[in-house]
Amino acid sequence: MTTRRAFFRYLTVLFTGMAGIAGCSREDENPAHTSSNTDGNLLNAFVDTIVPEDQDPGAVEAGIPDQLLAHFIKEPEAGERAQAMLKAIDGIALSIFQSPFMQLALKQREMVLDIMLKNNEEKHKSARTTLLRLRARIIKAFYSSPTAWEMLAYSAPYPAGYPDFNMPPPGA
Amino acid sequence: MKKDKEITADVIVIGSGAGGGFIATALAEAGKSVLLLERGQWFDYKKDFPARYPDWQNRGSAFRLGSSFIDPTIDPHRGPPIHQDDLDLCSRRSINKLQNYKYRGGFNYRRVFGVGGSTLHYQGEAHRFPEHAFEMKDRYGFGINWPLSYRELEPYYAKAEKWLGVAGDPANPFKAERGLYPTPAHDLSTKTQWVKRASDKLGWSLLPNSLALPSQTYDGRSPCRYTGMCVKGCPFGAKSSVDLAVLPRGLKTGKLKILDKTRVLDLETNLAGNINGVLYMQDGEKKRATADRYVLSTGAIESPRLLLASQSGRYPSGIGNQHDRVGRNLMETMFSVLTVEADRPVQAWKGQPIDSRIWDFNTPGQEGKRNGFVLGVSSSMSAYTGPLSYARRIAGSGKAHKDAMREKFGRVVNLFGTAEHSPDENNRMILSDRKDRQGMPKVMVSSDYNQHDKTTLREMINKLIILAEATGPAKIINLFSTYDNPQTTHMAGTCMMGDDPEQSVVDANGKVHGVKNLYIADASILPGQGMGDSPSLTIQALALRIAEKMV
Repeated sequence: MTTRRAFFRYLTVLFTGMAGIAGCSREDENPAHTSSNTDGNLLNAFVDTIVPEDQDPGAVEAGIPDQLLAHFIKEPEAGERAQAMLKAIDGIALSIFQSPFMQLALKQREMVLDIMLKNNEEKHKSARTTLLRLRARIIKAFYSSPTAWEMLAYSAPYPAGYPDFNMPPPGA
Repeated sequence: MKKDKEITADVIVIGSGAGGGFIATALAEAGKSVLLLERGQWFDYKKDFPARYPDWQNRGSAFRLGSSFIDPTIDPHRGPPIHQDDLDLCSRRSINKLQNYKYRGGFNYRRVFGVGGSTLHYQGEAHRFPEHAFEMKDRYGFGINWPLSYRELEPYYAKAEKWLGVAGDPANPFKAERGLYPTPAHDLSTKTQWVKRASDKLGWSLLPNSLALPSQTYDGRSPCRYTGMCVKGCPFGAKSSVDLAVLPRGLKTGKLKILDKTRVLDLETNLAGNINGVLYMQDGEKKRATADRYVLSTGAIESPRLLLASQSGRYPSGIGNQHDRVGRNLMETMFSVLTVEADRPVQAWKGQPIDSRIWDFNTPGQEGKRNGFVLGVSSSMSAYTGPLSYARRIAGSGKAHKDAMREKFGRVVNLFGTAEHSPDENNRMILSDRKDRQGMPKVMVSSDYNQHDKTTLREMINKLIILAEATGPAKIINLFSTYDNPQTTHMAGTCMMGDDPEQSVVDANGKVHGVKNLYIADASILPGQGMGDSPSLTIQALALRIAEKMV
């Protein structure tokens, strides 16, 4: 990996490539709530599971996957841990639902994460820890974003509405 | 020490907070040359405060560098034991689950080192103490009479309010009659209107708070923009902190010189027992400055600390401490917060942090068994502020978490009360054997609540629960109490004012008994805490009065 761009491409392929391994035969099906944001991308599927798109945009629409990839470029070991975790949850998905994670409906994806978190096996300890850390990171990133603020009708630190000061004061 | 850098002035003021900023400016406007020494830095609201930025939730406080993280003044130690009968006074999650606390906690010393002092992070409350707070002993048989009356202080309250552009409603039946405020009262926020329905049902009076957050453009500064960010520093410069509302007036006279990042380490005295210089540290160098007169305005912990540490042959136990009064009568902040989740969206983040108060219980009650207290509504007294603070406190993730966020965000409201802590000479601070990084002795605090205090706190908590229940099906999340979590937000009394030199440290004009040229103008001189009112305006009014007496 000699360039940052190459590494970024590597990570994208890495996380997307899991779909190839898992098989694409279900791409044309439309199970309940496979968000178009998963877009054949395992990382997107994971991020969407943490804060899904519904009547409001989710974390994928808020650009959180790109933030995670940027984080993995800075900290390659974190990227490797994430990859291992995603592989583990993909394995659970295949085992329980005979389908890759990214092709599952939201409820099924949530079940897979729940199974991972409740699994006390030592071999999954690292994956569980990584899942929890990434979950916290995604939630933090999403609720720090204008996308979330719009959803919550929150516009601090410059509240609009009541009372409404539209024009900034001189020197503000 | 380099003598050629010695500065002289008519007056040296130490500390630029509520008291120091006011007295320095008033003296400069009266034609005195004033050197104001401030330990902290100047802050620039246009770039230093986190709320200026979209990622404010992920930014630390601008005031962290000036907090006790860097200079833990208070030598921490376990507090006195908590009696099993008083567990109901302690903090707890949900009302019904009593924790098994054994001891009161160590003191949490919240303050700011900065030009403007704690007004940089205060929430702008600007209260005149009620008249009866000045005559406690005469009226109620407990507490201490002030050596001056409300009427004597009234003109200085009015002047301080004018300097700050205080917004308020004069029609407050629990306060002395007065004229209009400099700016009109703010409207009540959505969350406070929700609480008001409950207080109305109970027959209590939830009223607009009087705030040093002008409701109109004032002195060229923005009116309050309702961000609720006072504690983190107002991103609009709208809050009337001393650095923005007061010191510019002083600087305009050309008579005021301010040295920031300057820490005073010693008050030097001559054989006559008067102050003849201050030793201070600036840029790693020790320097000296001299004046005809000196004013100490570093607060109820730091002012007595400096007095006690400035020992000499003339003052072996510290300046002004001939009768062992310095550091005694320490009055803590006595308060409690009940955090509730409203049953409907109330946009809890919007509005000033404390836009309303209930003064119905501001006089002693239960036939003198309890002291006065004031209730209020706040958006700042719990961990629930912006979206991230809610997201972190809802378990899990996925659709359920998102649904919960949409439902719960902005619903958490804090009902709180502040009460008067009894002045008791056994509640005190003394110097520790341990020193801080610049060689100043740290401070040890011994303080407890007596039965009167506990009765007051118990009654206040009960009233908060009644108010919460009256709001309807609101869910009580948390109860916080200073009984197990001592706080130093509004401390007072450690250099108390009084006519009797054997029972007080300063006289009614702020002059230290027995020292011709030393004055104190900060919370340490207060003989009481105003039945739960916020003390800053009283400190500022006293500072203006002391300045006038000095001139």
